[in-house]
Amino acid sequence: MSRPKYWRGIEELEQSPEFIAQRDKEFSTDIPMEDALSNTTEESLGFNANRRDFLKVMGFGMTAATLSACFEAPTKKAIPYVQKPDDQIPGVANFYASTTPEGNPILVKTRVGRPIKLEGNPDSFISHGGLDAIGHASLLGLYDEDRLQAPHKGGNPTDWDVIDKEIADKIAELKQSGQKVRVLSSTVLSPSTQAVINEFLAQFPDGQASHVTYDPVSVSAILDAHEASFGTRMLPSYNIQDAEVIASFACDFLGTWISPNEFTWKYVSNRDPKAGKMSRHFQVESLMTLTGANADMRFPVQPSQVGLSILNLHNKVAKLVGKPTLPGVDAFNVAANGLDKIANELVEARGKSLVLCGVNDSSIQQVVNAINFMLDNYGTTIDADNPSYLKKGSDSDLATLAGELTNGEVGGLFLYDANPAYNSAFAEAFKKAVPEVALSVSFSQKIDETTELCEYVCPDNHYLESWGDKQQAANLYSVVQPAINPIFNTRQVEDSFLTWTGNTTDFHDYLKARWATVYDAQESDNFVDAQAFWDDTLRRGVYQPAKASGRSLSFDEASVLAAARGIGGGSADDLELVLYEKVAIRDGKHANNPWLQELPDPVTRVAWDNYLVVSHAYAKENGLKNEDVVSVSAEGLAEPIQLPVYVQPGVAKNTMGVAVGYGRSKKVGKVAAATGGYNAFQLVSEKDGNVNYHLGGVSITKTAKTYPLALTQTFDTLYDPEKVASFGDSYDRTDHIIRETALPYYKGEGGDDNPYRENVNKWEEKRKHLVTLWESHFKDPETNRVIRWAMAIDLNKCTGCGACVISCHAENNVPVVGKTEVRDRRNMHWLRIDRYYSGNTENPDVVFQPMMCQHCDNAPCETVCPVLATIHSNEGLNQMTYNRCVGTRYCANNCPYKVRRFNWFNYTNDEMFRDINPSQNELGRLVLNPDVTVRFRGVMEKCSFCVQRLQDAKLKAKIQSNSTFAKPEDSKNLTACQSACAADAIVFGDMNDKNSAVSKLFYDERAYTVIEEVKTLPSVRYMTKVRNRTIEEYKEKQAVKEEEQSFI
Amino acid sequence: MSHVESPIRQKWVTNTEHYTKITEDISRPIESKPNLAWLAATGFSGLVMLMGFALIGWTIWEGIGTWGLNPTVGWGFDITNFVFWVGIGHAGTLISAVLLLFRQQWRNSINRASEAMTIFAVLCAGLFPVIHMGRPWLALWFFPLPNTRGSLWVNFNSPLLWDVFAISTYLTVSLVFWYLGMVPDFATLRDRLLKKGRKFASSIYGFMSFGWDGSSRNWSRYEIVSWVLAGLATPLVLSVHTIVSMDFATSVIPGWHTTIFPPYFVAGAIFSGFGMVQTLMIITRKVYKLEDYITLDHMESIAKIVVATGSIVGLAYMTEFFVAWYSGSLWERYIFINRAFGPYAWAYWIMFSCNVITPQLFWFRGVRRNMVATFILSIFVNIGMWFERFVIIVTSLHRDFLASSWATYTPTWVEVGIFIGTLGLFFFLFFLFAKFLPVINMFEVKTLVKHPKKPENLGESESVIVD
Repeated sequence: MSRPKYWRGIEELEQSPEFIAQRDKEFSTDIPMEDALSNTTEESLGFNANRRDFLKVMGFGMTAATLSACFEAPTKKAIPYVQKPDDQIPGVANFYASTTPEGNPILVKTRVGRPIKLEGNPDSFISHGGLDAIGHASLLGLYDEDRLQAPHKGGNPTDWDVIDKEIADKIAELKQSGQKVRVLSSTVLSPSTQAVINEFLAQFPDGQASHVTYDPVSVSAILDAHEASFGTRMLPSYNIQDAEVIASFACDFLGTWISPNEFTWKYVSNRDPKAGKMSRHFQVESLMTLTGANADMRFPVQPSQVGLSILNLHNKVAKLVGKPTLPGVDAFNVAANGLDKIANELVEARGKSLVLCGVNDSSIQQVVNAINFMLDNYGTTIDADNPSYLKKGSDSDLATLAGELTNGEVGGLFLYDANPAYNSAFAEAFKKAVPEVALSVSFSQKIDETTELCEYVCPDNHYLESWGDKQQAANLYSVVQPAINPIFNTRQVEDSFLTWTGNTTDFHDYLKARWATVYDAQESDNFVDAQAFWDDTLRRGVYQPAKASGRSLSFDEASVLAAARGIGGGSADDLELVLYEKVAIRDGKHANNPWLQELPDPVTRVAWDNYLVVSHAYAKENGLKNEDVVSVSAEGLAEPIQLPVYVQPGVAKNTMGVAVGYGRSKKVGKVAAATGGYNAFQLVSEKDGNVNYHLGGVSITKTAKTYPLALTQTFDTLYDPEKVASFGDSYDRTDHIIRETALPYYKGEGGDDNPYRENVNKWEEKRKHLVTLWESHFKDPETNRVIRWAMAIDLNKCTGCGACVISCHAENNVPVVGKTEVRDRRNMHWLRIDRYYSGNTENPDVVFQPMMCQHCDNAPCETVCPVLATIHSNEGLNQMTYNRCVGTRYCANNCPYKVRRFNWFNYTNDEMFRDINPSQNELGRLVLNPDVTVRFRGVMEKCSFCVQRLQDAKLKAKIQSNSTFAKPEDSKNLTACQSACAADAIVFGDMNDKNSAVSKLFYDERAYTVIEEVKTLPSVRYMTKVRNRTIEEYKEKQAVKEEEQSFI
Repeated sequence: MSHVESPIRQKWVTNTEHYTKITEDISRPIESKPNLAWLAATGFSGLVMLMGFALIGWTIWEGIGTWGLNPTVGWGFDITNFVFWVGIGHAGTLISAVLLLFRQQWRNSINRASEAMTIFAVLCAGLFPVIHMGRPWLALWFFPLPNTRGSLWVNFNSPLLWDVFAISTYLTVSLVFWYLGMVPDFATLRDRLLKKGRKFASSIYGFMSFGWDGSSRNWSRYEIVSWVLAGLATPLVLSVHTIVSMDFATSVIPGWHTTIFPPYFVAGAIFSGFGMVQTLMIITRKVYKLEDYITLDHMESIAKIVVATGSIVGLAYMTEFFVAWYSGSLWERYIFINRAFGPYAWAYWIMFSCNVITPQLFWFRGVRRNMVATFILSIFVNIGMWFERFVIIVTSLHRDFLASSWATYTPTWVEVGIFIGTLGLFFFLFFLFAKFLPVINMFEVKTLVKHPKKPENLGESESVIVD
């Protein structure tokens, strides 16, 4: 094969000698190195060096370079990957399945190895894709610089070897001395952890060691009552979604009780008037809880009358179903013979009804069991076959332990997730006895009130640094997997126990081995081997074995008779005090979490403090105002306590409430120290084997002091009835903001007298007459081809829990501003939940309305900005350009929804916020979402509809379909608030897509826009709230409302 | 010298028979050494001004959070003070331009000081839009300057931008007009000081007089420019406050969103401006013994304008209420009821009494000619007009549409201090003006003196400037 020869020039073709000479040279001309270094020419460097000079200079140069390299230059910690890990793409988030300590299965969003956001795991029936406020905020706990950074002995840091050795020695001593060894924990959800603890305890001779479980806010009475009624100590699962009639007695199942996230979606899934599914919810309670605020009918009663109400309900139900009544019950009824109504409806919905009670009294709970059993609710709305394991604590076990400690019988005490010196009825006993115990070990991540008393502190990892599993119910397991290496020198509690047991396996292997046994027992048919099963579970995050069923329960009638005799009733005239949990702070475990501290209580709208909740009637009678400090004394209280007053409508007249979870030790952390408050766990007592959260014999004296509360929404009438009397009657503007109706009206009943239809027609008519001078942003049909983002919020589904607020906080790097700034109404939440009351202050109706930037098509903020810092996108977003903002605040003034937030201070750098704003310290900063700018002082900010997530979704859609015109699919995870909501109250999507969920809701009959007549054309619409009330009930309430009008 | 003086014509200058006395009287404070009272007053107001600047510095260093504002009430003392000072600035231009066009000769005695007041008030006003910004170092972005930030431009829809143009135009025209009027007087001072051998002072006034030589050509050009500038300034009197009012009127907030605002604001501005003119003139004529030039007749004319504009303002207040009721808008009705009877009712009633009720006393001649009474009433006008702006801004914002966001606003000591600081700045500048510049327009006042006599002891060389 011959190929044509190519030549570059004639020289090459001819192979001239010049060419050949030139060819072998690297450079076409000589490099004048010698000339350059010598002095010979004018251009030379004058460096006439010989070898020695060269060496000298080189030596000097190297020394200089070395010395200058020793100088400490600022280190930048962004290190590029030399070899990129397969699963890491900078800028692209990875999601890992895990579980919060409270048992909510989650997905952890990580960016280059650091967790930055949590989302609920949609595959589990607990989270249902949502995550409550505590769950969202638990992320921040990982980056808490007040966490213990190393093991401690006697208050000083030490290392694990020392600790392990000393503890091993002491364990050996204990084995010989035979003193009691106790592991005290709150409910251990993890079966593997339980196994580790059991194994640890098993090394001691029989009977020497045991595990005591207690819950600070206990539901032990329910478990005890089931033991008494059915012979098994258990906490049943509640199928609230199947209940057509719910009667809840002092039970805040939507806010704080057992598993609020799960109960919220279950409850709401049965509250859809369009689908014709509307449960009827009665709430009998003393304080105004989140659950009470959502009830169809609510009856305030004194705390001591809750038991009496249940007894009376029992007898009424028994009469109706033809069962024997309980003897010797004092007759009692709530307002308007409410108990008769409840009994009738419960019986009517027999088998599909549910009675819940939040009082931790096993006698009362036994009567509740009796009612539910009579109503055939076991097996339908109450699942005893698949009990819940979320709370296993036993109040009596803790009492026994306290006794043992006081008697000095305990030689070894291991505290895991337990803080009895703060949150138990036996705090004093623990405070005295724990320092005397020979071996006291705490696994706390913080120096809390009990840890302070312990000799050894072996800090546990944060759960995002740990391996583990959880079993929330008989039919639900989930895994805990680390999303980051331990930040500090901490060790998982299980590893500590394994070490001290003498077991050298690390917990990860231990865990897998345990799951292999689950595989062998249940899943060997579905997976090839244990590893495949484990991998699958790890990926899904949850494992849900088939539900058990068919267990027959036999009810012990005799025990109820005995229990019922023990239930007393109080007089409505005595002052009583109830302890309750706030939705965000709960039992105070997360007291050092600034996100949660800054989340206003959904009902009171107060952040950062606890206070004495007082009824409006009592306050009026005794001349108490918000923020007055009162001195409270009660039975069994050594000295009076001083608390600021918060006047709460809807509270039973002579009831007071104080939230637990406050007054943490200053050592817990800076945020907890800044919060302060009073530790209401000091008021907890033990009564008949259960922890009692209720005090009688209360008296109150007003002091001259006042204490400013961090109120985010003032208690104020929307207008003053007296002024209305003088100025006319058409001042109720609430229907421009909130619309609600009763179910029969929604269904079209009531004939001509149907206020809902009337309103719908009225507003449709009005809408025609609304004019604007502005051209719509969307007049051009071209723009209809692109996406048009919109949101629909169903007021019927929103319970007001605040999960979305914290989710937004985490997603959008919203600063925490602290108590003083919140007092000045400067909280920075992009999304707030407005609360409106209507009716009288004795028993008002409550509506929650999530309020964020409405992304108006005719946005008043956009026209007034002098520098065009806020503009409209062609996708309907009202965009805020932080860089361009000069901070005139004109936009905020002109915003009819008042959703714009101004950076009054430099929150990321100002001394004032050092202890409060997590982004002020190196560690806390890691929680910031790299996709969202941190805003500087003087800049306006507001809800962006999570534009970064929308962009991400758009990009993914484009990549997936290989088209630049691709739109993201309808999803429940577009905005952070939407994805946080277990109830799916927030629907978001593309309005130009006729099949999207949001576009269907947008043109639903129930949809309305807030203050429509301003003609801002918001991209957010709200769905009219429909309460399940009869026409008579509606009219009764309406009569009160017309008399009293609305207030906030 | 040629015209005949009617005996029934009102005398705007009393006890003055010849021009020299005018020149002497007005030049005296400039040519004499500063007295202790002046030094004390200037020093004190200077200190107050410095305190204000220090607090402004603190605000810029620390952030707007040092003020009492919140997301609901985004403007408080800052914009209240801005509108207050701009309003005060109005009287000067009105007196110098509008009254000139209408040939109101009595303006000749008070126009100089009023214009000075305008300039200083506008300077005080101009501070606030800058310092109220979250990031005042970016104030340059308010100007439509060519830039390298792509096609980034200012928003011509925003009334705040209109403000920038309106205020800067107003300041420029007022400043030029004021300065121009002083040129002949500077020349007088130059000549007098030179004669007294104060060469340095003379050279400064000489420089400032732009070589004025009193020639017919000078006077002719001067007259033409005066009339042109008066013509230019007249629409500004109306436009500036109209545009300021549009900051509110173009918004959607009830209480702001009203079409009555432009005329209402202009009337209010003239009212407040004349109130401040009264305050300053009473002090000036007393301290500098200028009662012969700023006569009771002058003060009476001013009082008449005050009562007239005060009544217009009162009418506007009532119209607002009527329209709120008549409009049928519930938000509108609520905001006005809340204004008069809500948490800020005290501010509303201070405003109402000071602006509508007390100025009615000026219907009485005795009050108009009683300088103690006039002084007290003028202070009321100043207070009342400050509160008018406070009421409009704060009460409209603090309870708007969504009741959940209702809040109250209490100023912090920083805001109050900055306001007091601007008072210091204003009076500091005014005191400097009173010492170093002729407070009354000498040559214009001379035109008011009929049949001037030549004083016997004057030599022929004394120049007597006649137009």
